[in-house]
Amino acid sequence: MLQRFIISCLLVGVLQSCSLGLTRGLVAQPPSEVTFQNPYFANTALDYVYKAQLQVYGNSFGGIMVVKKTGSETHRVVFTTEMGKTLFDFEFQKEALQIRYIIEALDRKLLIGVLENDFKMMLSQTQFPVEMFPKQDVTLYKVPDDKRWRFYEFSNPSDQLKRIIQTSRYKKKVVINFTEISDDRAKKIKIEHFNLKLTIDLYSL
Amino acid sequence: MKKLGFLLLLWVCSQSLLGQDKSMTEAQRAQLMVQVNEVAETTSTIHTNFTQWKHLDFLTNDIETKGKMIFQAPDKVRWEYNNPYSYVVIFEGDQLHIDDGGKKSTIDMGSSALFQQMNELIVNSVKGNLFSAGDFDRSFYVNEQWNKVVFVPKDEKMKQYIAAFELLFHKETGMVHQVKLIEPTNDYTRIVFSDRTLNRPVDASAFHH
Repeated sequence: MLQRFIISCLLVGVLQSCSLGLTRGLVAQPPSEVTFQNPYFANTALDYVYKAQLQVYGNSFGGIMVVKKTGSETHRVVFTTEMGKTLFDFEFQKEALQIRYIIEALDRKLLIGVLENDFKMMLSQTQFPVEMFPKQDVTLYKVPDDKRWRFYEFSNPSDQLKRIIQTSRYKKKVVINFTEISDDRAKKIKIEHFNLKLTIDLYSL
Repeated sequence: MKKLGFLLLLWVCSQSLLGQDKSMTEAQRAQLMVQVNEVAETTSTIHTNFTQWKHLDFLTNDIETKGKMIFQAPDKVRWEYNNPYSYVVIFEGDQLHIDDGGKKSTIDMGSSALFQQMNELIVNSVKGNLFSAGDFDRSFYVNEQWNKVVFVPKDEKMKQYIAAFELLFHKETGMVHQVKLIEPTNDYTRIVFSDRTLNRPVDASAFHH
């Protein structure tokens, strides 16, 4: 009897540790909307210009990041040095990346893959949620993302998008935090990686 | 009537050409080089304000930044951006010292030929003394207001980094008015200097890092 109890406890423990902490204890519901929008970087009339700070494995790099919505489903993302030299120029058509320019020193598959993933998360506009998780102060919408998931966290009742969390089945991989928000513009954006020592801080200019 | 129309067309064309750059004659080139070398030789320090515009073809507005630049012969340059952000970069020999809003770092340019070339380009363009550089093909132009020299890198690696580099010189003083860095994508950065003073003592703290 005791043996069975211990095994049951261990099983519950193992199953709990395998579940995603983000939604642990929450009840999944069918989404209230078929689609919703990421409101940031959505206005084609605006130039979005940010001072960027990158922390990579203890090293710090700065630059200017420019984002522009150039068509109904197209964005440009350009990163330059403070002195103006363009380091890379990416175009996202829906979620497909076209590299228009990149300096040789940054032309590395791994780096491009990480940046591509982050920018797709940050820029992708129309979302099709499969589940929602209401909490007291926020609601999470779960969206499929290739072999991962994205959770869009909207605050209640202001309905502002505060975070996008990318996860595997069990772990957080990347979190994008939007703060100091007004008129669908986030003055501060923080991109944190949980499987790499990489943080990107963006401050609107 | 036809003849009158042709003459009118010729006049309109000539008027529009007046504001455009023309290639310099040999004599004009020689005169500019003497003038600019004289300025470089007699300049030990420069203090100047600058405004920088980053042009990207898809943007509605160019990105405008402002700051101050200090040059001290032979090779120290301090670029200080103070609007809309604080960023200081000091070029000193093979070292590049950066203060990014309080976060300080140093890059050793000695290990990178490309960085060294960029450094030389920056220091020499501030001085206006790029004429001895053998790494570039040079073209000389003149218009009503300025003398213009366009530098195109010869090195293929450098070409991937910079398509061309343009300097505008004041016709009377021979000093650099504008630096324009043209990217391989045809986007560019334009820096215009203003309120310049020459040979004023440099504050000892300017190159501290």
